[in-house]
Amino acid sequence: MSSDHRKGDPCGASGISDQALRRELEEIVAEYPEKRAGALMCLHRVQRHRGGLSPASQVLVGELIGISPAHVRELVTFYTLFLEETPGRYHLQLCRTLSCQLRGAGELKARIRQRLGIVPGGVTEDGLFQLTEVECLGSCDSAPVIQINDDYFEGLDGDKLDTLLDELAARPPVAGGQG
Amino acid sequence: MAFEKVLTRNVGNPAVLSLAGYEGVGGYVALRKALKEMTPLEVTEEVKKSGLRGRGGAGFPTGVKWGFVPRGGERPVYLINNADESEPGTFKDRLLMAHDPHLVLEGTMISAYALECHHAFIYIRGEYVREYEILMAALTELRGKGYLGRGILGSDYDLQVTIVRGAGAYICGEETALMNSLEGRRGEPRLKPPFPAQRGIFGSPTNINNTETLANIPFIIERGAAWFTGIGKERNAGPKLYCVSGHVRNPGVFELPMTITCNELIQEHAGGMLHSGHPVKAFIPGGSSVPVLRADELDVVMSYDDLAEAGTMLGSAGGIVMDETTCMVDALRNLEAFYDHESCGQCTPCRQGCGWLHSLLTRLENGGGVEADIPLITELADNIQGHTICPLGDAAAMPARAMVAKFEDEFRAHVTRKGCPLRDKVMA
Amino acid sequence: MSNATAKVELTIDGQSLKVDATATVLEVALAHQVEIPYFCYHPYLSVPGNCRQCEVKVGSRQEDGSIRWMPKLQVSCNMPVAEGLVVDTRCDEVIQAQKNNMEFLLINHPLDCPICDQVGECWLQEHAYTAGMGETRFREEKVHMDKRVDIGPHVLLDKERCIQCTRCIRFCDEVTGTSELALMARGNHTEVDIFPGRPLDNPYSGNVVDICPVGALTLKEFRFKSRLWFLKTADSICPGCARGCNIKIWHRDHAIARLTPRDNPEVNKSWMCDQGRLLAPTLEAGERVREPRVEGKAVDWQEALDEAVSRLRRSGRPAGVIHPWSTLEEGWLALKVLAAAGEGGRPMLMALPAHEQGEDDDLLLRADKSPNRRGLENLLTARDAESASVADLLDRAVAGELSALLVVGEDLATLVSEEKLAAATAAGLELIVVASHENATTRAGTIVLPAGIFPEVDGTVVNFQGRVQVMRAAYPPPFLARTGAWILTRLASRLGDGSEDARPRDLFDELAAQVPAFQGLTFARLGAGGCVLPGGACETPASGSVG
Repeated sequence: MSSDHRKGDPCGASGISDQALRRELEEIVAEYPEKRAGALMCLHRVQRHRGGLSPASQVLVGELIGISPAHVRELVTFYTLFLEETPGRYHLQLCRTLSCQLRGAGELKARIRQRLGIVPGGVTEDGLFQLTEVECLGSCDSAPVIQINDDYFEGLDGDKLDTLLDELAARPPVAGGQG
Repeated sequence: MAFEKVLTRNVGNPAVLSLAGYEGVGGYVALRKALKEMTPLEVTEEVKKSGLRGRGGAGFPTGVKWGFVPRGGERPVYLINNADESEPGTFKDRLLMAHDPHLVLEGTMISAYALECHHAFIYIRGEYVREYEILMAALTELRGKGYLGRGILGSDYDLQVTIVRGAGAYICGEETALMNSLEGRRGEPRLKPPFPAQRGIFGSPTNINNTETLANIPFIIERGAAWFTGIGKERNAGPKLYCVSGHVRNPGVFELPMTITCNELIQEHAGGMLHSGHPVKAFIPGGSSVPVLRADELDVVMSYDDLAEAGTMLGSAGGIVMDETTCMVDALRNLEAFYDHESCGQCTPCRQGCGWLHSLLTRLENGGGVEADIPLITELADNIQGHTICPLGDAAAMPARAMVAKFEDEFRAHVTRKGCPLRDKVMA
Repeated sequence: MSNATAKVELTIDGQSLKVDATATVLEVALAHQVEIPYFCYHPYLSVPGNCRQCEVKVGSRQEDGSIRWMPKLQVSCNMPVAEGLVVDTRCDEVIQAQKNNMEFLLINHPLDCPICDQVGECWLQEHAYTAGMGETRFREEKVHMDKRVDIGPHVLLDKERCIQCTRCIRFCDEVTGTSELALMARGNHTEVDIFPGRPLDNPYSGNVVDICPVGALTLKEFRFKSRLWFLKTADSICPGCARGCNIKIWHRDHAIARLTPRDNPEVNKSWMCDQGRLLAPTLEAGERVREPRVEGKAVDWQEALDEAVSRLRRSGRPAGVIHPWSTLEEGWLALKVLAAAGEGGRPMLMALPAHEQGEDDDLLLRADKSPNRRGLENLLTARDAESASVADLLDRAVAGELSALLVVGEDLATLVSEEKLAAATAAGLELIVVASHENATTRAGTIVLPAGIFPEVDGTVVNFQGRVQVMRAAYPPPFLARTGAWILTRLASRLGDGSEDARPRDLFDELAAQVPAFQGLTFARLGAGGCVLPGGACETPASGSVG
């Protein structure tokens, strides 16, 4: 899948060279008594720079921390924050667990479907929004909650969500933050 | 008797995000006291005397747990601050990290000193990106000012602290799963024996405590165990953070002694029910994993022991309030969907049982239930609980068993009416 | 507690046992014929305790004689033994737990047993038979996964049949260290898989099929080949290299269906390499020698043997060439034939050719691809045979110093050029060839005696460690062929040394009595696990096979 539209996004390719990335990862790994312990932090870092964790990225991390590509892939597929493919520019992570359900997460899901035409797992055609249903985000006192990329958007209702989506859609794709 | 908030005293005071600001309100006094006036064993003894019990869920006495860790062995000792807060209905550690990162660090550092540990880890759940950044900024400032590294604060004690981000896995809140995760493996809980105190991370003795637990340590050291035991009640001492969410007017985190009742927490602190016309129907007192309480059971005191006596648990003190419009089958379906999604898949009963419960409840809620489903829910819960490697299986089983036991008529109504009797009401 | 020799006393199902203090309850149970079902445990792999099938009731005996039971059942695979431990594997609670766990294992398991290759050796079927519910309470949709995943040159994966026991993953992590396999995703979507483009392609990949307790991993070379109950088995030794892995030959209609490893903790544990496992096509390739021949003309055995004896005797001092695949008995007999045919006074002349070497690895594979070089060397030394190379022997023939050569199992043209061979025969060298397959040597042979080859051969071999092990025939040689020992016994007997009726076991006892390195050994002592030279220390492995 093409990811041209995501160039320069905080969630997209940062343009860092393999060599520079490798140096960053080596620095991360150096903090642990065993190399392998740096796995999660390395994967986070690569994903930040590259948008998703491609097979090549997984091989790179595996080489760096001394584990087989299969053992990297098992981490990538186990931990839900790791994505093999670069997500939409705004990754809407809608909490579906009890406290949010009690306070209207279902309405938000319906509203997203109505507004953006996507259901959980889907991406809008322009690649701007991707919807994932996630489990409890630890923000139950401000339910319902959507995490968009790194930030929590709390105490939402249908109207607030509309405003938020409008605002995000209007934002130019500049690196550095969308919170 | 006046209750003084300590754990949350700095909430809403952005000045404490900086080292100077934190020290300005008495920060790192306890650390200095521990390093200069106390031996590691004395710190451990003080914590033992305080009777502090783990705030993560199990409620095990912290000092006793520290006592299991062998000192002076050949292998280094590791301490992990478990900030992988993920229990549905729980958001107290996030509050501490966002508003008082130095308290979290100070608690970690004193505890590391007590355990004669020279490399401590804080494992923070991956979704808490901003909290990670706040904590990381505080840590960076400490490193820059000689509070970490060799001979901290003029003592001969060396300490390194590393913050590790999780990556989306509830199971990593379980201490041995967290250890595997921290070692760069799938978050699969480990078989015991060996126990973490014998062989935890990197083959070394390891102690792991919840973030709120460790945030209590500076106060115990600064003010003494007697101050701590003076709060709450016997065996349930010290300040406690209670989370309340769901159908209440004022959801949030409340620091209270463990003498509060469920009703008081809901009605007085959380502002009462969201809609005055809809009274409380059920309350999950300790996070999604603990057995639910009915409206008529809410005069129980929210201490470890009182809740245990009432057949439930304080757990992570994640209170979830449901009013009368809530369908209990759907609430349970929601929770079993959670456990189905979060089961690591390692051991048979949990891998298969959680999925089965989830599918069954979805079918029941949608009108496809049969009479045999109702006892089957309980049987499946029985067949999971106690047969798994870690407590996630128990966590999936306990709410299921309690929901059916306490709301059996509502479950049966789903069968006889071929669907949810409350759904229309909820949609309206 | 960590003292390896310390013993503790515990009770299992009322049976009091004194056992090694470092053992687990499951290990003790297995060693004492107490049946506890399990899937994920494997004696040569780490203990993950994930299948939960081996739960037992555990308690400790109190001073007043009462038993304090633990509140929960415990997995016996991770339960350390302890003094005064009491284990109950048969109470209702345990049996019910086994049934409940089987129900969980089966809800998402496909119902394709009728077309599954594992039938007959499926642990799921076996335990379902003893601990199955008999009816399903599962009304939900099963989880569906890929059923035909090509994960390597020899192995196919059915993800739906997998029960996530992780034996295959642990094998690749802990035994080969190649880590091609891992668990992907989680919950009831957890599946074994490879990294895309990094297939399960290590020299031992077939072992994952053996240790898979269900039909999730199948060997491409054996899929749909035969139902197990149509196969006969023979316990034997792999002839593929000097390791001499203990194996089981599965055969039908005088053909190998598959080779699987047999447990021998001292030699190959319960593993074997893919080269050995897939040896059959190599053995079965080529044209078999169908009947005895004298100077190109088919004759009966009587005539062929008589003719061979007369040529050997006529030569005065015949020499021999013996392939290091040959058994001790074949070697012993070949030496006897040379000695009896020679005029005496001069040492026997015998070549034990070196063959192309592979490479040693740190698991099983040995550079020396012959299963009995060490054994044959012992015999040659003991009989003071003069060793020579094949080239050397042919040179002597050309020089008129050698007129008859007994060739056992070798194709000389693989060792020297065909021209050199032709020059020797042109100079009058007569080849008495004991061979299984047609080749340049049989074509040049004066007398060709059709022989058996693995797995048609009974006998003993000595591996690189000096362990004498028993190779057992799965079926007799085809056509008019006979085993090498049968042929050589008759030659020796005709030359006046020994009886025609000597069986391989008699021959072993005879050579063991005469060759110092084998002193003290008898065929009967070799047992299932073999004995080490010299001195013959015999360890008896716990059992013939490990799942």
